[in-house]
Amino acid sequence: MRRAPLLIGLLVLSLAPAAARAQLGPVTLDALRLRAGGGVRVHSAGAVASAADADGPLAAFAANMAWPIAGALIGFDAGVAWANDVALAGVGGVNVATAAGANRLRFRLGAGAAADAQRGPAVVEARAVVGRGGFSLSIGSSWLPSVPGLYRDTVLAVGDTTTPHRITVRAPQPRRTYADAEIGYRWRVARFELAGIVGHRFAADSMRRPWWAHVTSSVVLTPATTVGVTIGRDGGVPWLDAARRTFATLFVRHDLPLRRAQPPAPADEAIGPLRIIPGTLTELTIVVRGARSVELAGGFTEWRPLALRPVGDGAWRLALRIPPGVHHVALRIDGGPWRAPPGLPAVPDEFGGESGVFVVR
Amino acid sequence: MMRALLVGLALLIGATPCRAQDPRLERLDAATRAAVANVVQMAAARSLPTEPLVLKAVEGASKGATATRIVEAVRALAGRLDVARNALGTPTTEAELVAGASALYVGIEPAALARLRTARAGASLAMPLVALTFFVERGVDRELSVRWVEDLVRADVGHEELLRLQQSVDADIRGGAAVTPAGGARVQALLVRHGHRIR
Repeated sequence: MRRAPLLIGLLVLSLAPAAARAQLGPVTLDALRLRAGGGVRVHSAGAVASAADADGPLAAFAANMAWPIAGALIGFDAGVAWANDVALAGVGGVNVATAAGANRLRFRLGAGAAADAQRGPAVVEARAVVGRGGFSLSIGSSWLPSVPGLYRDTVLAVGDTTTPHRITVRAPQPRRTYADAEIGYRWRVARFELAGIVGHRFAADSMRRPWWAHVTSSVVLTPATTVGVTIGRDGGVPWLDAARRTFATLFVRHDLPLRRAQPPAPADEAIGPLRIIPGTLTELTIVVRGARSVELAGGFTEWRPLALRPVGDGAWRLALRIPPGVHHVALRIDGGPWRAPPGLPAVPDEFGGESGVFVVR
Repeated sequence: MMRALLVGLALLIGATPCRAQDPRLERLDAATRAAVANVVQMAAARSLPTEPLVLKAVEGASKGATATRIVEAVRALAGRLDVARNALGTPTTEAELVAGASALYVGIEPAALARLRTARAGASLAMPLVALTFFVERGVDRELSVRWVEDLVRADVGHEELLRLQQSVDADIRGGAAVTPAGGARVQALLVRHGHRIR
């Protein structure tokens, strides 16, 4: 055993450009932005076992993209990481996120590989996450294939001097499987957030201690910028031969909005006035010739877009219960910009557009 | 280490909602949600209605507004609701406050809201204030718009008539008419129908 030196390095820089926005039940997965973050991690008081002298990643980059398909957000992620003493390691995966009632569900199937084959060349991972409110439960499993002759085992040895030195012994890497479980909770008040994660590794090999825990505290400085600190003990990464250690990470995150290219909307001449027929269900009808989709959103839908149904001759219809009162409504055609429906008086919406106004008695 | 790193990334990238906040705000990203929730909490502390603020935030999210724009809009709306409440006095309905805030947004003075309140005691000002916003937004002089709407309130013109008035003026504008003559003519006709005339 030896005491590891204090290590300071760029730890986290994540980039998450995306081109999609999906509403999944009560959960919005809004990916229309570029999210970037950077941080510095300080490793302290880490004990390095004889078989795991790797200091772990000091820098990492990750990106993800996703598209709304069939009621879910389906996408992929990819990332690379560098350890201080070697390897470029890559990870990637396919993600499916959806919601069931108030529960958030996410599944990921991923794989990783290291450019330095000495570290064990590959891993396949599967993970499922269930979240509700501030709670999340994550169950994952990883499979490391058997690769004869590519496993490095490093030991401290004392030679003919008094200075110990390390030597590397190659041994076949056996096929290994392990499973991880994590429970997390986030508590948020105004601009402050406190998040904690406790994890446990099942069927871990003898080199790894099977638990870890982190606590993250962050504060929103501006609507787009968050800073925080994470402290805890990580669980190590068997496929990278990285041992667990105590750490502290200071990070800053910034969201950069992206604009989607909007498809051209049908010409105004092709759009008739929005007709509102009162009843038990209020019927909203509009003629939009040549449209592929027509949606309405308003305060009465909590501004969730509702698709109108084509009923022939370019007419689109929606019937729903709308409480009495003065209502604001906006129209979207073929996924284009929101606008005030023709035929209704329009008032500014404070987002650079207008909403229509109507009354239900 | 890699796992810790990925967990860290997930913490950075991901966002989970908070039970203490309005669940509709979960449609916003974490940073925006926190900022909006802060405004909502402050508004609640001042006994202002929070529903319009939440709806404004999710409206911005649905319309693809930037985080900054959403927070600015919600914060500004909270301020205008406060001004509208002071101008309109109590009791004032939430719909009136929202409509009053819209009128303030297009440059109507708080004193004009107070004038409308005294024009006819007990009358709902929600739709008159929408009509006022409409006229100003279409380009009618602010003071003239206030006078028109004040007359309409005195004449006890109903909400649906006010709505049809705006639709008619919009149709006139699309037909090539100038907004002020068209609006004046429509308002005059409506007042005559109610036994009043424009001042």
